[in-house]
Amino acid sequence: MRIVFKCFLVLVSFFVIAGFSFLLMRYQSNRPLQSLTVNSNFSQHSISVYSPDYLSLYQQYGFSKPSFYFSISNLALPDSFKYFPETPEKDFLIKWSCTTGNPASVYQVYKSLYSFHLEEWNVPPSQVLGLQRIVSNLTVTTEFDSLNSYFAEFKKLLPKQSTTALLLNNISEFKIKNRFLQLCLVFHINSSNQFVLWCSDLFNKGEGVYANSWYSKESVWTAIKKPFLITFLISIFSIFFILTTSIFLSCELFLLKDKKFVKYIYAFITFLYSVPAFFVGTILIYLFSNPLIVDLLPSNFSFSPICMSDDGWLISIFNSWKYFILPVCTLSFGAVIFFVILFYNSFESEFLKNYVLSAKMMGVSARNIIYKHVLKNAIYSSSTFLFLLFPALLSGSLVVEQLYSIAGVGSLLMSSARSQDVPILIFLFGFTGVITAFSFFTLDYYQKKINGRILSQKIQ
Amino acid sequence: MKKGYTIFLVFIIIAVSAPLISNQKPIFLIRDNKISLPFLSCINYEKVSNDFVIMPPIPYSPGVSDFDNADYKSPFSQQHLKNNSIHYRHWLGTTLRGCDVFAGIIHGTRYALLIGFFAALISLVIGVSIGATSAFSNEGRIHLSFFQLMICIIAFLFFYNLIANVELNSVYKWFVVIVASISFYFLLQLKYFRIYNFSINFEKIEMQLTILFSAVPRLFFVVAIMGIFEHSIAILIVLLGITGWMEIARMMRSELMRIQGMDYYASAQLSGASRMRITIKHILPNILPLIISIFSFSFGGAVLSEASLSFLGWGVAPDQVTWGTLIMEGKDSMYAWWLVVFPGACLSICLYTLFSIGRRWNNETYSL
Repeated sequence: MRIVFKCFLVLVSFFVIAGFSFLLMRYQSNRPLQSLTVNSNFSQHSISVYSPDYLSLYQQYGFSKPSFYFSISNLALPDSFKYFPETPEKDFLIKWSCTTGNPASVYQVYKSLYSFHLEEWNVPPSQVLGLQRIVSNLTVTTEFDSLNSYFAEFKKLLPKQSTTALLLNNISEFKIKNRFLQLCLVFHINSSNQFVLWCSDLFNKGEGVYANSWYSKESVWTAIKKPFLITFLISIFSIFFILTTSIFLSCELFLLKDKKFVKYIYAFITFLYSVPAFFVGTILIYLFSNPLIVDLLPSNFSFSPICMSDDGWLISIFNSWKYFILPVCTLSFGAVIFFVILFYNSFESEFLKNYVLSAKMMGVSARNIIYKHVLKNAIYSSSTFLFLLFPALLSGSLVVEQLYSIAGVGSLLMSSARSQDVPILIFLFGFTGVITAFSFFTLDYYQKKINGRILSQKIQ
Repeated sequence: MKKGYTIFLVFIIIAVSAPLISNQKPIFLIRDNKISLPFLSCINYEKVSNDFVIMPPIPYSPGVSDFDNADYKSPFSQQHLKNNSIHYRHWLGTTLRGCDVFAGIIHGTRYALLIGFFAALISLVIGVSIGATSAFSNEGRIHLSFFQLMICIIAFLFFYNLIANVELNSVYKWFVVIVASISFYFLLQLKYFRIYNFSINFEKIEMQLTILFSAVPRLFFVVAIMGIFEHSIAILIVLLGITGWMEIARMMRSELMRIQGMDYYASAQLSGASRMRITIKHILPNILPLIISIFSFSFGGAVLSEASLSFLGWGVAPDQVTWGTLIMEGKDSMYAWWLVVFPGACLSICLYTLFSIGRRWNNETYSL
């Protein structure tokens, strides 16, 4: 019964998180119509196509209409205007910058316009994740009129932004005089319509607008499948790496604890705990994936066989082992340090116990005592944290996936957040919620099985 | 440990006096026998030959390009020095557009500490309030009349509808709605409104709320929400603040419940001391080390999250230079190591200092 109740709680948390995220998604400003993310080896760009509101401004300043309007997220400062030659568009943008008082955003528009005019956007088409989508979307819309039609088509897919306004009109038409009823109706419909649609699309029909990504037009399940598999693989490899490395390091460190230099190593390890993963990752790229130093390991995961081929998953995983090394090392760096400290401290407390003393008296070597007796007990006491590893790794994947251009769950979240792809965002939120809730649930169950005190309470 | 405090004090001094340390405007100017402090004004400074000026130690502002030293100048390479003066050297190199890295690091300290401090403060306020309410509520329950509950829901709807048509930023809208609803609830605490009482197990609600908020990783949550709002420091502080209170609430609740079971708490109650007196005289001194410890860890966590978000391009506004943005820029180049190493080292030292202060106070708590 308890398990059923806990499962029910997991489901409830999924829906609450998804619903909450959905409600937050509604309150958005300056939403771009379309946003496309590109990850190159060492940089990440995103193009956001905005509505053609600039047209009136262009006409106001007497310039010919541009081919399309968009912005790039990797910005420079307004003083970089100096880099660009004098064009009518530059004059316009500077004037507009003065009137709007936001030179940075205007600069984005100008930079992208300029880059596209001169075809200087140096992202190699064959090597960049997601560029294919951009090309397929933007090459057909280089003409302004065709872009407008593209927008018109895209707008059909957009959620009804003016739900509240429409509702209020309807309510006034129905002449509901009771203000309280009006409020209840507005609140009810605002909070239910699109989320209910999403749920019904996803679980019942599977064909509606909310069952598909608004960005890639593929179904939510298809969009999430491959990124999840990649993130899952990296997380599993990381967990394996964390356990083996931390156990080995902590045992060997503890064996040498009588040496003077171990004190300094331990202090250094505690310092390493404060070093952020993205800094470590960047340093690893500099050291091991740098043509100027040692080009030993690949750092761009988008070249790996697992990303390039759609079939033969198992073989492609084996073929792309080299591509996993740097991401796994970066992702597990913090956790390895954490577990080394944790195991080391556990060993210290375990070493004071009687069974260690009797083993010592029987002449068992220190290495055997640690590996055969102490390690097992130390792992039991520290195992609570093992179950919380997976959610933590999921969070860390956001940084690591951006660093190594991995098309995983973190990258999907970033691109979905940029393009406000609500169906994917709701699913990702719910998905991470369920994973975390499941980890808590498993931890709870495991502790009941392992912890003697809880077990004895149950027996009593 | 004193070293930790000293290093952190240095960080604070750098953050506070950043415009005095690194600025393209002079600190002190005498022009036509008139004394002025240009670093405080918004007007750009142009040098006249008769001026007497005292320039800051680093005569560059963050994000301002020095076109003569553009395209990643290393700290050890030959640089074009203005007036051939060593004072104008870029000691920690430059970025692609010739921005000074040292200036970026100094002003980045300011952003890191500002965002970290206020985000940690918000987390602390929320966490301590929820943890303490959960621990001190009468047997884990709060009593609320049915009428009060209904009125609160209606008030929430009413206030939201009231300001729905007002042109305000949506964050402020929510803030106004929540504050108005809470104040309405306190208004309803008057005896006049109590018609039918029923109790809510606040402890259980709090625990479920904590689990619910912990379910989504912090960075996931902040990135998804930052996609909606304009990038700004205020939004970042609020988001980091409201995503970091769960652990604080849990720790505070367990600590307060531990204290409630102690002898001195029972003695104080038996001696007839009021709840306020017990809280201020007995509980507060005992939980203060824990609060400082929690605050330090929370501060460090917020600084780390801010740097990670800036690194991902979801942090502060693009024209503001932080440690994370500098590392992000360094990632784009294969040889500009100075863009990664110096800001990364600053970030690591800052985090180490905060975490070690937190550990020290944590040990203090449990040694009592």
